[in-house]
Amino acid sequence: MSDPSVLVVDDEPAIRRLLRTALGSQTWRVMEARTGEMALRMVADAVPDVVVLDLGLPDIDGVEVLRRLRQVHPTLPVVILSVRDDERGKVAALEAGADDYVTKPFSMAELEARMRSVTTCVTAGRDRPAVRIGRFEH
Amino acid sequence: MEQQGLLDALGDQTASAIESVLLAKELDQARLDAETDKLRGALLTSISHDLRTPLASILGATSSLESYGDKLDNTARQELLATIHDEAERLNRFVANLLDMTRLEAGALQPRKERVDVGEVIASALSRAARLLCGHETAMIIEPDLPMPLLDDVLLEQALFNILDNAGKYTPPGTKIVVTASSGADTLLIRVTDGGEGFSVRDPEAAFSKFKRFKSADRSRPGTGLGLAITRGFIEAMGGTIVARNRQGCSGAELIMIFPLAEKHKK
Repeated sequence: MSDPSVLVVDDEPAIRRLLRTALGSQTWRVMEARTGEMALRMVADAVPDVVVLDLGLPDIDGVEVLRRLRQVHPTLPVVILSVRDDERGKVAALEAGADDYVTKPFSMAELEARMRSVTTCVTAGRDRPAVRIGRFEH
Repeated sequence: MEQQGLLDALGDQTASAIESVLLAKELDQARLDAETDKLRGALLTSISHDLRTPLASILGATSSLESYGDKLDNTARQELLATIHDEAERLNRFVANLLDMTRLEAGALQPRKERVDVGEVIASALSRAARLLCGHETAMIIEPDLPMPLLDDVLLEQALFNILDNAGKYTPPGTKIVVTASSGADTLLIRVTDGGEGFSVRDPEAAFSKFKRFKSADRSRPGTGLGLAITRGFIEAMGGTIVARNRQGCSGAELIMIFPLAEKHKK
């Protein structure tokens, strides 16, 4: 089985460098995007196992990026990584479909654990045998 | 009786006019308060973001070193340490900028003027900025026998550093940044030019506004949005002026510092 892949979407070069180094050392294949547009294009080309998404992007707000991602990929795991720590911001991101929310500053071990957790949940969901009753499926 | 009525009407009109003036004043004050609140809010958001971003990288890198320890190879370890170092320096610059701005606004800045070897100051600023400009090509051109003007070398170096830092942030790697020093009939000119895209705004002077970066919602460039405002403050405190413009005939930005020369240095 190949290494899990993560798309890091953040306009801060230092954060991208940190995640590339730290996650790269833990068997993650790290891809990077510094704008929302770039992230959407990259996901259209190759869907990663998980997206780590900043909210304060220079072109499109992260919540809007998330909404657009959700329209095409309803189950793609997305963890928000943002300095926004107010309740309203968190609720907006979770309502837009974020699987988890980590505020900056953050612990790398915690971020990675959350990434693994949301990835596992989705994979488990995908692998679960479907129950079919007539034309209904659950 | 008729006169009394006239007087009453005049009194009413005067009272009404005074009331209108007072109301307008109150309205102006309310508008000013709202604007101040808005500006304070923007400032706090900006400061909070600019403090937290380098802190996030530092804490993220230290927690990686703690959690992953032996699993990290030497390259990864060095890279994380470099992140901590660079981001701590960025925090330090941010705090220094805030202090400089406070000193400037309080009028507490007293330049210590003495004869300055401008070439040495430029070399020193370029050396300090070397880490930030490692992907850029830099050069300095100093006119032979350049006069030694009366300036504060610490303030001049910081002003130059801020300009270089800015040029590094707003131009792609590989761009050439040149610092030139020359003298005119009664002025000394220090020019910093880059081969980037130049100022995108119609008025390059806007680059000197405080928190310009924040106002334009440009979150793609790290920094406080104070650097050039401080630079102008420092230059003016030393009796000089600074102008920003786009280069003519080729792409790129140009910042020109102009200092008056003392009588005996005039050509």
